Amino acid sequence: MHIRRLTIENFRKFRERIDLAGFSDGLNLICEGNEFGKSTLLEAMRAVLFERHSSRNDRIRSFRPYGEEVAPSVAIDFTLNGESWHLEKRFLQAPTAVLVGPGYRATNEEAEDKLQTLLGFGRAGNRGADDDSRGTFGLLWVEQGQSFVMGTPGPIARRTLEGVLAAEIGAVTEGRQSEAIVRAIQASFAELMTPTGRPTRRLAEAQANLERAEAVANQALRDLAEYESCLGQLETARNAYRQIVAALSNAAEASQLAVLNADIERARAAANSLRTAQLLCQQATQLRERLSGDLKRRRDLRDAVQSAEARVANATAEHGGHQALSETARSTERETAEALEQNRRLATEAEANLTLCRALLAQQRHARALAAAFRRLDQVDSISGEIEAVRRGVDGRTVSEEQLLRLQHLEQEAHDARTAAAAGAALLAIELETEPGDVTVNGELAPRSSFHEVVETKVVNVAGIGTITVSPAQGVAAAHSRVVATQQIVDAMLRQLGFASTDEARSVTSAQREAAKDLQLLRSRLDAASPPDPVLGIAEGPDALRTFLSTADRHAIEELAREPDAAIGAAEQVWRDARQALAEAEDRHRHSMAARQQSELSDVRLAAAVEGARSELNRLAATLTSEADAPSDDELIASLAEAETAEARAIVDRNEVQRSAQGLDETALVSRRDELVSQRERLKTEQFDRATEIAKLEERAQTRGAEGPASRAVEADEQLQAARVACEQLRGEAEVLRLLTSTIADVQQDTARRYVGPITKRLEKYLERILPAARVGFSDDYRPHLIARNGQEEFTEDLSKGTQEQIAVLTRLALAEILAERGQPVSIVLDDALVFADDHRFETMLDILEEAATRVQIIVLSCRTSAYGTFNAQRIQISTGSGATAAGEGRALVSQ
Amino acid sequence: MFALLALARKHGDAVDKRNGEPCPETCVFVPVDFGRPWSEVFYGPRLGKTMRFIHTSDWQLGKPFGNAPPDARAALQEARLDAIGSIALAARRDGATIVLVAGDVFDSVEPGDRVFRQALLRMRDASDLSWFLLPGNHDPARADGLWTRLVRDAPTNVIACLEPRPIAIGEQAWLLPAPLQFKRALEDPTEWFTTAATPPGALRLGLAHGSIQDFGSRDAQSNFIPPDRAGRSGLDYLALGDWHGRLRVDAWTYYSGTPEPDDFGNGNRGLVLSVDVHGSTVPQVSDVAVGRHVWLAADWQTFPEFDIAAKLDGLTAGLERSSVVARIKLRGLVSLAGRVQLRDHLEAEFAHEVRWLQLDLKDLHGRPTDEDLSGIHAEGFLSEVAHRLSRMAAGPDAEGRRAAAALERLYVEHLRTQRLGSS
Repeated sequence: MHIRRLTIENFRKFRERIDLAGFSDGLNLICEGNEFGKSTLLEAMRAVLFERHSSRNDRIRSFRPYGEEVAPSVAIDFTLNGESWHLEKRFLQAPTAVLVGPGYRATNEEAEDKLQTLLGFGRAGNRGADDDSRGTFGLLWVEQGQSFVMGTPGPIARRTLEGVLAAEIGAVTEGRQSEAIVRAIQASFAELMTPTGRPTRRLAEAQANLERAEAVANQALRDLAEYESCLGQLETARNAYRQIVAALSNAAEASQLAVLNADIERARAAANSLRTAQLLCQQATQLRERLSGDLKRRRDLRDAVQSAEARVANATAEHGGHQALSETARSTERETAEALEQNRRLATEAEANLTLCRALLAQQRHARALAAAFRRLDQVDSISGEIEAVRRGVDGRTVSEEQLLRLQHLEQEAHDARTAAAAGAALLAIELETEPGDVTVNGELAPRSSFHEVVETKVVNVAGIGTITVSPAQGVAAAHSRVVATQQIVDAMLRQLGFASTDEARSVTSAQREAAKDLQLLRSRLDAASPPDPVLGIAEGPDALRTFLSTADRHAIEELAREPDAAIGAAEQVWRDARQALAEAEDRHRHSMAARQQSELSDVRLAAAVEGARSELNRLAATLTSEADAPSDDELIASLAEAETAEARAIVDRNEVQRSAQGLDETALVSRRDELVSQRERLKTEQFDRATEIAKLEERAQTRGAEGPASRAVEADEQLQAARVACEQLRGEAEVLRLLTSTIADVQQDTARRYVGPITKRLEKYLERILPAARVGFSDDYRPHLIARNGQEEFTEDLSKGTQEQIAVLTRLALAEILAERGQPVSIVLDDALVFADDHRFETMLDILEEAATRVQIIVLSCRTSAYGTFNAQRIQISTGSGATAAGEGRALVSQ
Repeated sequence: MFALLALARKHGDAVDKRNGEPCPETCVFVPVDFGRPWSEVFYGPRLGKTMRFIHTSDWQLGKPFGNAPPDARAALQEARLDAIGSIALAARRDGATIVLVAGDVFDSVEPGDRVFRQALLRMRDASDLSWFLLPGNHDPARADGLWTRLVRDAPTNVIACLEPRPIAIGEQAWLLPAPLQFKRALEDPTEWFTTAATPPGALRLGLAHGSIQDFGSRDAQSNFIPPDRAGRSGLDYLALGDWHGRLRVDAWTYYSGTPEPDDFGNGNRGLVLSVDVHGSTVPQVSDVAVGRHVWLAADWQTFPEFDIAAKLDGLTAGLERSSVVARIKLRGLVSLAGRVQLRDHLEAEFAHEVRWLQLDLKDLHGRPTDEDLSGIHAEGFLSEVAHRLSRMAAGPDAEGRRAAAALERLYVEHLRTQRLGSS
């Protein structure tokens, strides 16, 4: 198909008529700026070809220029298989369609139908044409902003495409009705089940019916069971009622009651007689028992007197025999008492002796301790003497360590001064040859030959001769005076301390230190010699010792201490033996005393027995004597015999009465009668209850019966079976349809896979130039959805917008080529496409478009004049008004 | 014979004791005549005694037909009630005034008030007839149930035979009913007939419900009636119910069958029996058709020239199709087109002509022929679908059957679409 010319009037922004002419078979470019109305041109092309002229839907109305009540009109010229066609449509006002072809002219609906057949698109819907109804044109005419979207071919486009592809691969094409068949099958399946097997409408309804039928059947069964049970209860109640009536109207029972009452009366009389007979019988028995008791008592008394006499004799004899034993016991006791006394004495003595021994021993030990203390006192005294001696030997003067150091220092100083004076002093040597008198030096008599250091003015007076004064040098004098001053201080100190010289002071100090050491030693020894004595209770220290011992008689003590130890061991042995003997004697005495006491007790007991027997004998004898007034034994025996006879008679009488009363148990009879009466009462109550129950049950049975529970149960069961069968049938049908739809889907998929081969081949030829070595994968709906490059696969929607757009455009080229080759009417319109392409890709895409345009007419709408500068395309000029068409033709649009 | 007499007296006492009523004069000694039924010897000669009545049974009023489609259900239920009117017409036509219903008057022990009232109403409307109703195993005479209400509410011309006790019918005949108290009874309910005392020379008519043989019921041993009961008990006729088809047991014993068929296989037509009892000769029994619906079952093997229309015509020849309940089973192997055509004919035509069609095509296998598939072939990939399903359908299992059904469905949809396209 090749578009040749397009004329538009009153169409959106084109109020004035515009005319586009001069379309070439190949590439055509309509390049205008923004806002010109390029997209309106595409819309107009779509309107004239695919919208129905008679439509008045919103889209058609939108064709009108804003605010004008005019008739949008579009005309298009095209060639198809070498034949020229002219199509005009006028919308809204006096809508018309005219199609003129070689030897053909049609208008309106006929024209529309012919156009559909010619171009292979579908009838537009109520809301206008869409990409689906536009068939392959919907796929190949790309509006602004949609160039990167590769839509799914609609059913019409798909059928056309598959027809072409099938021819290409030699397959049988899908028939015209396949789609309807598949749709019908899918619709039927959807009525029953979802693809996942969930029941829908009909099947769900059948299942719901089945559940309802089950519920109804169960309820009907319950109702029937209840009805049956009601009848059962009614039957039971009626039987019970009949039994009650029979029991109440039973004549035997009434007569039984009368008999019972008579029996009760008889029983009462018999009971009275029996009571009387029993009383008489009891009296006779009592008399008989009393008499036989009297007789027996008398005989017993006599026996008792005899036996009491015997007991007295026995007790007296036993008591006599016991006297000797008592005597022996008493003498034994006395002997043991004496022996005990003896032993006790011995024991006391032994104990006294032992105590004495112990005291003596204690004294001796004390004395020894005291002797030891005295010896320690001697030692203490000796050490004290030594201490005193040392103390006495020590100089009383004292000099402290600082004073001593000071002295030494001063002396050193004096010595130094002296040395300094001596060093500068002149030596005055006096050697007198004569004996002139006394020579004095500074007033002191000097030997004849002597040397003097002149450290001070020396006045040598030679008696008689005169005096020689030698004065020392100035320095020497000063030194000397320092000597003197120092010496004075030393002397003063020594005087103060009481020492003659420093050496003395030093030696005294040293001696004092020695003595202190000695004293220390001695004091230690003194302490050692006077330790505390716990035995004697002496505190530590010599004074305590001395004080303790000051009153003691040392001599006596030492005497005592020297005596040997007292014989305590022997004394203890004697004491222990005595104790042992005493214990044994006590034991023996205790035994003998117990034996004596026992003997005495026996004696008392025997004496009491004798006394008791005797008094019993006396009492019995007295009783026996007192019976003198009573009837004699013979009389008593006669009375007893008589009483026995009377008792026997009374017993016979009583037994007789008892026998006659037998079987006339009044209590039992009364209780039986009462039971009978209350049973009748109960039955009457029960009769009433049963009657009420029966009435209720009858009412219920009638109500329930009227509902026809049995028939309803059967019916519900049959309906349940029917519902089950229906449900199963539908399920079976659903399974069948599921199998059918799934098989259809499988086959469709397989077919689609085979069909995409030719598309892939053509697409990859182009794709090679922008994506070298790329392979493309198509989905079942003929969309390129996968790109494989360098062994990696990518989904096309993940690619860049530019690449997506290029692949989408190339796919359209490929599809268009296939369709064109098979004689299908195709053309490509790209409105503002390739906007995302980089310069290189853009150039390549233009090359490809040029190449493709040799096989398919391509119309490019763009606003980018410069980009398409080198584009080898027919540039379409748009002329407005009647005189400005490219073809120079100015005929009116749509001949009326 | 003397021994028999003694026995009868003894049993007569028993009857007396059981029913608590004075026994009618029981037996008259008649010289032995071995050429006549011995009953006449025992129960007196019926010379000159005649009687005409209608014998029917198994009305089963209120049978729900729960598995039938709603309209068929309603029609079938109504037809059973209408049978009462038909029977009344038949009785009048034959000049009978007595109708003996031998059990199963109602379908269940409690069919509900509507059925109950309708039944009474229709019998009351036929007030010139006396209706003797006997409880059967479907509607045993349970105390306080249906029959109690019926006795209470029934018009005077309706007599419920609820106790085994002779009932006088006019002056010449006594009816001996054997009502069932339970669904199943192990004792013979007609046992007492032998000892039932009737006035000498009176016609003795037995009325019972039960089986004389195994009719295929699950419990053949219950409600069992000896086949020679009529002979044993000196009956002039024994009217039996339970078996839904007409059956002659012997010259004196008949099953009437149901007046309105309710299932396949018990004879085609609903009948009542018009019975003439003539003293000492065998009763004259004639069939009177009263049923509305005819239940027809067919099991046909198909073959290449099988003509379903002709077969159906043959099956329903002479019948109104609207009164036909049909169960048709087809077997065999046919082409897909053949199967669809058969099914279309049966489902789309015949099913709507008859009252109720139960169709079983389970064993009618559709094998797609090349011709079948050629149409689908034109549909491109659907041809492949058909081939795949055809291959799968070769399997003998459920999957194979499903595939066959799927193929048929595809074929049907194809035909339908084709029809739509061409119309």
